[in-house]
Amino acid sequence: MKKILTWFSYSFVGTSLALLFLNVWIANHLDISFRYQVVIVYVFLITLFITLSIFLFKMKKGNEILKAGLGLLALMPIPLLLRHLYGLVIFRFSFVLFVLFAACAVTYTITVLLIAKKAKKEEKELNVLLNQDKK
Amino acid sequence: MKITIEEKPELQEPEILIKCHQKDAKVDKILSVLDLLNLDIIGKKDDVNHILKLEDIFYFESVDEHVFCYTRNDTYEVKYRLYELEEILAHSKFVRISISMILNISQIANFKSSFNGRMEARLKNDEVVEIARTYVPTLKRMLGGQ
Repeated sequence: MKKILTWFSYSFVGTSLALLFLNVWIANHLDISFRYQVVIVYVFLITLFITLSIFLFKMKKGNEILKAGLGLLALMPIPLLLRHLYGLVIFRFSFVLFVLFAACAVTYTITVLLIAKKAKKEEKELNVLLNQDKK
Repeated sequence: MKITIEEKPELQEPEILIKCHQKDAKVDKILSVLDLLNLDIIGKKDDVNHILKLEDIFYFESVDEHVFCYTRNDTYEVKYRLYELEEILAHSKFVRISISMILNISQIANFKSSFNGRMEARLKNDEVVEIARTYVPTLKRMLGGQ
């Protein structure tokens, strides 16, 4: 539970900052402002999906590829939430939504690959050290 | 450090004499390692106390405020708390690998990482224990890494 709360807190801060900058940009360039109460609700919902994604990816049991896939799937409602929040302000063209889906998938895949690569490197190092220690 | 062994048939038990300029941290470390030789871990199983050799212990685990010690085939309850064991075994082959576990590194067969970054240690009895990411650097240092 403590871990989940930590993931949630970090995601909440990250999402809040991202949406804050986006809202500032929209207010400066398009002269449209959103009610902060509404934005906070969306930040909360987006954070929930990010936390769910991390939870699914980090689960102890289950097939590793399946868990990675489920983690990605949990992120997919985020572009839809953003479209619901910003509507035509950002999503005037339907391709923007697809670009956002692709951005989510690419970011997630890169993160997963980096984590796996780091873990593999650490595993190799530990095994080498263990073999040296045994000698 | 110079080590000299003198064989004296008249002695009943080994005697260790440390000669040094001044008692310092290095000497303290030698003493604590020697203390480990005299350390008996008493494990309780089925209301019977057993004296356990440190090298036979695979790991200690804390479960619901009770600390258990696992050997190849058996599990014993020990009277120590996990942080006490961590202090006692500070200069031994035991290392903290998670908030609830202290592992004997000489019982590790190999390490395996998962796709999601989880690190596991397969023990010599084929049991698999999880290593928390926070404790990986400590484990590396214990094994002689940076």
